Amino acid sequence: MKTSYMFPYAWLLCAVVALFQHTPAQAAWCTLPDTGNPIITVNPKPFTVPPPSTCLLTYADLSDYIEVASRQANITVSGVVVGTLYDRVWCKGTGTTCDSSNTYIIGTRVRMAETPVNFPGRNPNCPVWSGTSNDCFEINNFFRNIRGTNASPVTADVGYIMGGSGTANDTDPIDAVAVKYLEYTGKTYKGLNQVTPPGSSTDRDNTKVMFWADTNVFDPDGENSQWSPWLLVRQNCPNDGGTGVHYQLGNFAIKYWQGGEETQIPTNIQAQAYVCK
Amino acid sequence: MTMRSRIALVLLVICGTGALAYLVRGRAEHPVTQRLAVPNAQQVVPPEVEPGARSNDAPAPAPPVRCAGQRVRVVIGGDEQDACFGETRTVQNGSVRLYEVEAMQGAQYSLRIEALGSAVLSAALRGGASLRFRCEKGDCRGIVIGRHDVEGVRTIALNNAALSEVRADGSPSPRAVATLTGELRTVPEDRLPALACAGQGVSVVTSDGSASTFCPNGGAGFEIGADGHRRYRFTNLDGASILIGVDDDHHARRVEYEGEEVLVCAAACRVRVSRYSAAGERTFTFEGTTLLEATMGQRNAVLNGTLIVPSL
Repeated sequence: MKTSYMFPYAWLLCAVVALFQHTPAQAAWCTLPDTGNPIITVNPKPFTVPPPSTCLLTYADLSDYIEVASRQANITVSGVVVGTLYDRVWCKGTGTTCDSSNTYIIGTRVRMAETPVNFPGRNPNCPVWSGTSNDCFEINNFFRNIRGTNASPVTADVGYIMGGSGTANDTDPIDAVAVKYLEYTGKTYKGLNQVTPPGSSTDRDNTKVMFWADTNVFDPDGENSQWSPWLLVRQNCPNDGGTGVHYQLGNFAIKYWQGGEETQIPTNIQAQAYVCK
Repeated sequence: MTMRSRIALVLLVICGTGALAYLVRGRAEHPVTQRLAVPNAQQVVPPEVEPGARSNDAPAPAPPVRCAGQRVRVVIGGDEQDACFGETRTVQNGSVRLYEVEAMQGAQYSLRIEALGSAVLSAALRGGASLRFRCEKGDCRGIVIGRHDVEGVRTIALNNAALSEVRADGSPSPRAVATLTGELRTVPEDRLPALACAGQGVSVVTSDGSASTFCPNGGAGFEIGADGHRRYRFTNLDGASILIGVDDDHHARRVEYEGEEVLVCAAACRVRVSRYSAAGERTFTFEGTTLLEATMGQRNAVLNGTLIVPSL
């Protein structure tokens, strides 16, 4: 008898647990620390699925923002195009008007190319970029310039979006879904095999934000993620001298770092990208 | 003919014969240095010694090496050597362009120059396993990357460019400086698959004879201005941009070229702007579009060709 009374409650408890287990966590921007250890943990390997709410956003979280700039560009390594950068800027506002808060999001996502363009006998899963390595280019860390200095840091919030309603093989930057999550983030200019999270104060660089998200169309670890998540940083970008300019396309504003996770050649690639003024 | 005239004629014949013999002999002993042909790829010319120029008994010093490539004088601590480099190799990494030359013969140096457009980011000279010299940004002021000429070639002038010795670990060493003097020529970008235009591009011919092809290999996109209008931006791998401001009627209101200089068309610009295609692309056709230098208005550039902004 006692068991029969308990069963509905036990079932209800299990149902509640199951509900929480599969419901997407509440979206939350992460505010990066400006002092002390620079790196915070988001969802490192082995990945927690579904992911924790830390820094995790969806497109609905951008509903108060207006897209004001969008571009795409080749990612070129040793003269070989290994992927595509999608770079965007949103401002807080309504309709077509940015509001006076000067709140801007600069977001980026990349897609690594899958079409081989090299020689017969090389890796058929990607355009091989090195004459001495058969590996596809893997981005382990993304760095981008942000407002602030080490002496006078400017608050930066970070978020990431895994994608939309598409699949991992989609070609649309909004719909496509990333496979691998944002693992770590912080204000540093160091990445894989250069720093061990959470790092120390000597690893801090308040002029940069680092996103740690492995992106590789044919990853030697066996789990491919052709798309990175959307990697977003939100800051106050003031009206530069009253010119109405809050952001610009900056030289060397983004850096991709292949850190050699599976003995690949450590490689830095710097390129143009949007940057807060 | 008088006796006096006969004597003068005989003296003239004797002097003329002597002068002719002197010239012939002098030419054999002091051969005139030949002007070298224009550097051409990896061709190596063997050293030549003129027959009869030296006594066979004398110990022969190393004959001067003719350089069919790109000759650069390298001075390290008072020791001068000529490096003979092969064709300039160009490699693009992100926004950084690497110009690299290797010695074909003579002193075995290699030289690497990293640049964004005409701005030198760094230069490094290597000789053998241990000799390393380097300069960065403002310290490389002796290296000047010129604009594209009519054939699309840039000249890299080395004007007593000073590179400081660095230790094997990369730290600077105060011991020595390498000074480079000479000239390198780049390969036109349209001959390099990684830099050549693929299906689109705009020729830019300036009033002072510079010519280049603008390829949007650095990216394409749009920005929305405070007035709500879109401004399309195309960038090349030199970091230069072409910007087209478009009004609600799909007309180009303003065209700008932002590079080593700023050139502008502020009104009635000859650019056709397409509607969006089914694929979401938009095409801009330049039909002799003339841009004026923004500050002095003394130079102009004429643009012809097509740029396509992809679906974004």
